[in-house]
Amino acid sequence: MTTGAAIEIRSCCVGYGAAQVLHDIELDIAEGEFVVLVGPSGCGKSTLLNTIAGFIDHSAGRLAIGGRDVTGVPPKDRGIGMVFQSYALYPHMTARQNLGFALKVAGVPRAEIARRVDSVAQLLQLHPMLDKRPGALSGGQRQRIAIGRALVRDAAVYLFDEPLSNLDALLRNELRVELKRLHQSLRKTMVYVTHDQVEAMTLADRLVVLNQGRVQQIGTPLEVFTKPANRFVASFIGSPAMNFIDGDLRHDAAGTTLELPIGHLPLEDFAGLASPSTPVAIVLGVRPEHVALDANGAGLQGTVTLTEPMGSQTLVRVRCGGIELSSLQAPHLGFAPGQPVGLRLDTRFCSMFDRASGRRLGA
Amino acid sequence: MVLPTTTTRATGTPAATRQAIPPPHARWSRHLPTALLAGAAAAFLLPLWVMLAGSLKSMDEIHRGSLLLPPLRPTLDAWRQAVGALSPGLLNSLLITVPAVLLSTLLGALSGYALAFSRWRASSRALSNLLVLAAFIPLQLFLYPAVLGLAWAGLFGSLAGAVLAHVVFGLALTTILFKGHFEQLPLELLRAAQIDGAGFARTFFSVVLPVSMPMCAVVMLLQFTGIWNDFIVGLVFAGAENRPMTVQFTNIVGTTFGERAYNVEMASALFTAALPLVVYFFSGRLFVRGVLSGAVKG
Repeated sequence: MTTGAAIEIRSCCVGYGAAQVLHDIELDIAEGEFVVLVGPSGCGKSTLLNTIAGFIDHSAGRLAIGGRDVTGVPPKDRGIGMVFQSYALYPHMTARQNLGFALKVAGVPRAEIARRVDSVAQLLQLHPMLDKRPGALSGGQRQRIAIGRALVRDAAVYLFDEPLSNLDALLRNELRVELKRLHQSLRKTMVYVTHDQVEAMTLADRLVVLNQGRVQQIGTPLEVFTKPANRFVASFIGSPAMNFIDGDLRHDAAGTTLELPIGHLPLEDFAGLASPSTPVAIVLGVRPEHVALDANGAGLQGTVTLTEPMGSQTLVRVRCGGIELSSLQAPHLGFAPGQPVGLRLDTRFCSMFDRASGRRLGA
Repeated sequence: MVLPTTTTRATGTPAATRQAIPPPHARWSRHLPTALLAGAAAAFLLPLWVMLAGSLKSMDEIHRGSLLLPPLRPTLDAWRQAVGALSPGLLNSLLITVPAVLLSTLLGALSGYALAFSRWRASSRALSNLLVLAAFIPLQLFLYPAVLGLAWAGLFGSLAGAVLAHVVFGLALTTILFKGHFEQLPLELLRAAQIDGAGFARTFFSVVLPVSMPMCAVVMLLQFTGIWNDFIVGLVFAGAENRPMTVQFTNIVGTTFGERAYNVEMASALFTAALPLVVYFFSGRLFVRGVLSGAVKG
């Protein structure tokens, strides 16, 4: 039974028939791992989290926490702590009472409750707000209390349901760092749901990208970023978004070439792609950071149409061969609309997808 | 409630900014709501004034003067008589109302909670619909079976019987009100309690009920006024020695020989209505807040 996995999900389904919201989920989460479930709204990430928590029953498959099958086990007996998007603090209790509620319910002696609340408060620096009620606290403070409330329970697994999405950008970044630090020091198993890909990338040991109730890809943030398993993942992860160019892969006596509207590229550049025997309709994915621009006009010919300065970098849109590509450039280079530029794709970092299925081709 | 606050806010803004941009028709129309409200208040206060003034007059003065005039030689004689006659009724009313309000509120909250979070959605919906129906059936229809039931239980003609009747008759309404309110509670709050290990009862008493205090206040006020002003349940179920104030009040008004003592009747009416009046006066603000927090998820 024990596999060392904190959470084991085997061909798990939720819902029935046409109303099925999760399809055949396979996921193993190791002890101490920080796994982020990410995807657009309605992709089933929260449903999956709530299924792990026990608020939703799975209709098929197996779900085990700590090696124990938890089918039919109520949330309180699953050994989990949970942090909610709306904080869900008890408004009539002080922060201290909120932190200690679970222990009080469990019948832990008062002195022990005080000790454990104190140590968590120490960890999260909650002491100044312990005797205030949630109504007197700011959003960030509330969420820290809510995180503390989950940690007090000393659970095997901690679940986070978009805990930062109600906070403003600055606080979100702060708490994100705090959460990552917390995980590094505690090494507890954490499952975190977000639709924010920056949060997902920065926090995760491993990412689980979901769409329409199916797992699209599981991997480290860098794996998912550099080698997206399909076109959906490629477009969802990464900001600014990846460029997609329709093309044909043609194999002849001269070798294999990729025919794109912006020109033909020899295929030797694409690492690990097997030569196709017949022309294949593909989509080439190029991240804006891998589109090089040359003000002196070397390479494919294009014209700058729009620039979006983002501070540290500027996103330059270039029209070339009837399509528009975006390119990340250092702001001091000063590209301006109307300017003719030379354009080169760094094909070492491109991804190629089958146009019909959207699946990644090659390594 | 909205109109007076907007007018005070308008007049409350610094005069300088007000005068800088003279609104063309504002002066006239701004005072219209205030005038309307003042008129409405006067219309409601006038009968109260007549009653209050009348209760402080002697019968002589009532015969001679206009109803609207203030008492020239105020006397507490009428009040002394009214209080003397109604005091036992006041005690009975309290003994019936207080436990009946508390019980019907608590039981309504409990059953509303059970219905709102029932696992069996369809049956709880069916039950709720039946309750809505029950809440609006006139209670006269239930009188006969209720009398038989209470007589069988040996509670007919006692304070406990009256309390029980009030609780049973009020339960449908309090249950529906609480159910509707609990369904508006944030789901995550209840889930947090679940994660924290709180079961059905613990969640109710430690989380759901404390966060629903405004709703409790609304329901208790509703029940309080209803039960305090009740006549028929007290008359039928309480028994001769336990008649509430309302029943004794009608006895005073209904069984006079010779000259009607209007002053005593007015004092009695005011005395009977005094407690709800005081309660409303002090909880009016709470009542409004409660209604709102039920409507807009608080």
